[in-house]
Amino acid sequence: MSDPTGHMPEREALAAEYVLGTLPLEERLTAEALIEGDPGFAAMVADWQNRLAPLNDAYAEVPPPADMLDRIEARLFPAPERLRRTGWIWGALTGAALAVLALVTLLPPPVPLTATLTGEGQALAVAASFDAGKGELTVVRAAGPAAGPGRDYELWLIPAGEAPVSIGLVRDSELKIPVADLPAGTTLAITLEPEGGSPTGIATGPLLVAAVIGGA
Amino acid sequence: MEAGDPIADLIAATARSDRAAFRALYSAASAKLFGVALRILRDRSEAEDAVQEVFTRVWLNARRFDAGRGRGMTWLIAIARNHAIDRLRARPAGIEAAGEDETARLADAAPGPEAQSVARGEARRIADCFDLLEPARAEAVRGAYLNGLSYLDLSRRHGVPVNTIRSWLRRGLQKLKECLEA
Repeated sequence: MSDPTGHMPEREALAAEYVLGTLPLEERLTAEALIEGDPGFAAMVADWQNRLAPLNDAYAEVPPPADMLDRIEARLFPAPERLRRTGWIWGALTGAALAVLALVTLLPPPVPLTATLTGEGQALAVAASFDAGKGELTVVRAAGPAAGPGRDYELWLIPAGEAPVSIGLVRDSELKIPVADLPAGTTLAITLEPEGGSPTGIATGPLLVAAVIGGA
Repeated sequence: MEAGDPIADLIAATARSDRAAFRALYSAASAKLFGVALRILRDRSEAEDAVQEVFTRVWLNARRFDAGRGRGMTWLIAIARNHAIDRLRARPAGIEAAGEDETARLADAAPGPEAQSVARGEARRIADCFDLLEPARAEAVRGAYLNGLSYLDLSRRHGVPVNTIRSWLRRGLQKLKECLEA
């Protein structure tokens, strides 16, 4: 892989530096996009991870807090009955159910906020990222099946304590929606609706996945 | 291929939405991943958030793990390091972790790879290859990897421009690669 002058090609150097961890954020994000989109680059990264893996022995084991597994499971697997009992989405999201919806980890601005919408027993996972600088929310189905014929996944934005607002349909391509602000406490949720979305403007189908925007 | 990778088996079962396997994976790996997050972030509460996010990603992305490409623990640690370093880089400039608490210092106290796993051929091989680098360069590579130092951090620490540090470390990585593949 090396050229006669003993230098790595630029792309391999980027893969190596990504694994080393020294890059500034913008270049790390570039590398992460390449890992997603370019199997050759992803393989170089995997090779470098293996080369440097023996260094991992120097990381000490430190027991995490005793309740951490519970917190992770509460986030990944919200209690099912509570979500199913009510038909209307806001009802489904109030009270106890709200507390167990996925929390969100976030990088402070100007880095985009990212959230993963998940739900109990749901293969579906939806990735959302909000770029406050551009005022743009990007949403894409990250895992799980498509909605199926005659149906759509409808995305709702629910400001804390307010009624849900439909902001789009999540189909196969990335959905970009202008959103002025996404304050902590806002909920993003997906329901299964007839093709084209809820005819009434109020969620009619089951709540599948959701995430509450955490404090930055 | 090395035989026996129980962590890889647990990741494969997790990919089939096996929650018991996910719990077992948590038991087996959480202390190591918390140690990684703590050492890089040097802030206990942020390290806790990071580990929660890491296990969320593990659950969602387990099917992307390829046992033919590396060991299970290597994959998990890569996820933890990448997430912790991304968080570190996203901190507003000039903000160092306030609380270098007891636990964060503890995370530094582990023995180096040479001391801990002389028996493992791969660890010995990389230790030998590190020995071929100038000590300062080897230390910079190791410090960057383990602590999540950026080129900017290294440039301040060594009092040389970022680009100088960058090409100097790239040459170090290139030499390591040649040595490991020799």
